[in-house]
Amino acid sequence: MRSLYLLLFTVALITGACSPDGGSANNDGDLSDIPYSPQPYTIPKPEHFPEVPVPKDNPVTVDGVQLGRRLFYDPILSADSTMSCASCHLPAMSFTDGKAVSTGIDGIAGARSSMSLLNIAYATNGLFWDGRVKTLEEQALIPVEDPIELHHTWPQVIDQLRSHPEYPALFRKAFGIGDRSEITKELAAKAIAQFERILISSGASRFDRFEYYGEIDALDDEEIDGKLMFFDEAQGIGINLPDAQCFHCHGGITLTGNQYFNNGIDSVGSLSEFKDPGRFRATGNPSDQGKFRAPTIRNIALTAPYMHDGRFQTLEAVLDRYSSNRIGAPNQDPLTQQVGFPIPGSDPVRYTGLTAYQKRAIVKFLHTLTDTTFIHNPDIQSPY
Amino acid sequence: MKKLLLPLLLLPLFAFFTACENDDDDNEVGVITLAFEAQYDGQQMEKYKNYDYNGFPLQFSRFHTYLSDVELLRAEGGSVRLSEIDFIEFTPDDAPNDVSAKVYRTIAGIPPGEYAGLRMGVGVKPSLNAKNPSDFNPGHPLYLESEYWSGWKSYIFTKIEGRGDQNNDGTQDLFVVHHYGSDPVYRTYTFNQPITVSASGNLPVSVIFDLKQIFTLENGSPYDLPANPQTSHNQANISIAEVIVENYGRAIHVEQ
Repeated sequence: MRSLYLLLFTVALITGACSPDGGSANNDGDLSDIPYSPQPYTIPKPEHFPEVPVPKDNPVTVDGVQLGRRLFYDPILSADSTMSCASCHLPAMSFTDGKAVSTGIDGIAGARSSMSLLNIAYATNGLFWDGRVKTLEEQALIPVEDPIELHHTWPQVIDQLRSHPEYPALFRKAFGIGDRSEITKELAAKAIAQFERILISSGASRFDRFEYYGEIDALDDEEIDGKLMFFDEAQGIGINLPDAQCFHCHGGITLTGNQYFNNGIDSVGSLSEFKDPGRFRATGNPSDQGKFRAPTIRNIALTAPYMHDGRFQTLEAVLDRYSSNRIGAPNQDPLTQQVGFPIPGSDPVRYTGLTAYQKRAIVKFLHTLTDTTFIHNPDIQSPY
Repeated sequence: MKKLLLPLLLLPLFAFFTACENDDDDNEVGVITLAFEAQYDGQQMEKYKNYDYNGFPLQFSRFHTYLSDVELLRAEGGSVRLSEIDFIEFTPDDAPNDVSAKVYRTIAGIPPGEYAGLRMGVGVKPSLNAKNPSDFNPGHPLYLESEYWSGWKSYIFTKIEGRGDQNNDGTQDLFVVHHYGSDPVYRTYTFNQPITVSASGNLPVSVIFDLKQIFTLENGSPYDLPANPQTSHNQANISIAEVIVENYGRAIHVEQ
């Protein structure tokens, strides 16, 4: 009998020593000895930014963000442990990957470019380029099992997380689970979503300083001209610069309304000819063929190449395209036909497009949107 | 005497509860449903459908509007406010087809009775238009960044977009972008239409916006869209918007 007690005591010592906090995540899965005291995470945002939308069933907490950050950067989410969310969403590129289209663990190229996650918390009108999911929680579930992305399975990921030396305790702290068997893909997605909700602009870009903090020297004259054309503010103050029509799709504080447009970059005879159906994939509405969500223009200088398929390498190429006023598709947004000044006497009314100077000024303005404080924020970097 | 005592004691109680029932009737609360609808010439509007506009095909791709201070008007004077601000999106991004959305709003807690009409402001009333999306919480109609124009420090009250084939040559090359905003083009309209509200609910009150009428002048002639396909962004020149908003009074119909 004394031997049995000794054996039990030894086992208890060993399991205790192996648990993450020197405590309670023992092999039987019980986590209840680990303190659970969630602290609200105050999402830092510039004063001039709107309140960050947070769903009631996933409040942002300190431990939730910490767990989400680890998961976001952890290649455990991919089948061969080589890629993580961050492989296609790098902070230095405003959480894009610098490629025309992203490539998964099997070397298979996808069809679309990695979207910036900057201010993604404000994207409440659908996610991905086509808006096929509504919430960050739903979105975070998809890349793990996508065969051209992380190509893993959630049951396997959950097994790995449950048997991991550290994750069970982190899930306990974030969500109050009592046992490692309670780790689910839904909780993992919630944690990732919490981390993504803190990816908010710092408000320190030159544009912000000029526009919202009264630093009139933050932009030079050419950049101001670009801003006036971007937002079509010139005519109202008696300056003879045309409307570049940018702000209709890229307006507001976050410089996107997160709406869906066909911007006319593909020339097709009928709606069914689009190579990528875009928004149609989410709604099933044929007239949504070739429409995509307008991305934020903040940090746009860091997120080349551009468009849903990365077809334009530079901002200059983007401006050239829009300046052409080319008719591309039956459901093309009419605003993409009205760049420049109206041409007197044209019938129907045609537009001049932009001069070389005007395009250059707009590109210079776009560079003032770069927020280096954000991309260097230590709270959003890899914890590894 | 004792036999009479109990009925005597109960009588005042009976009278009291009877009176309370009457009070309950007076305090009855009603429910009203407003059904907002976009039409073209009396038919429910569909996106990308060709409509005849002054002899050429015209189609619409976007139509939405803000409404302020939607109120029921009492016959004896005064009003009951149904909403302070609302965003009516006839062409939402998530529609499964091109038929414009009927937008329903059900408001409870309205005193039942017969009302003389409906009053509403088309656009964002000045006191709210002085604010911007950062002043509102997520989910509020004025939180929408896509509907705010920082250049004018104004919400875009109404957006109507589409394209037409003014030369009838098979090419939709007339691009219509009409965005109206800023305090000078905010208008309030009154619609004299008897409206019944009861506790059990009534037929919805239809509020119909007819796009053909929006682009029809008071003298019945069509507005010259080919000459003015885009509203000016010059805040000192809002002549197009000023013309169009005057048409709303004839273009909006209220029915029950």
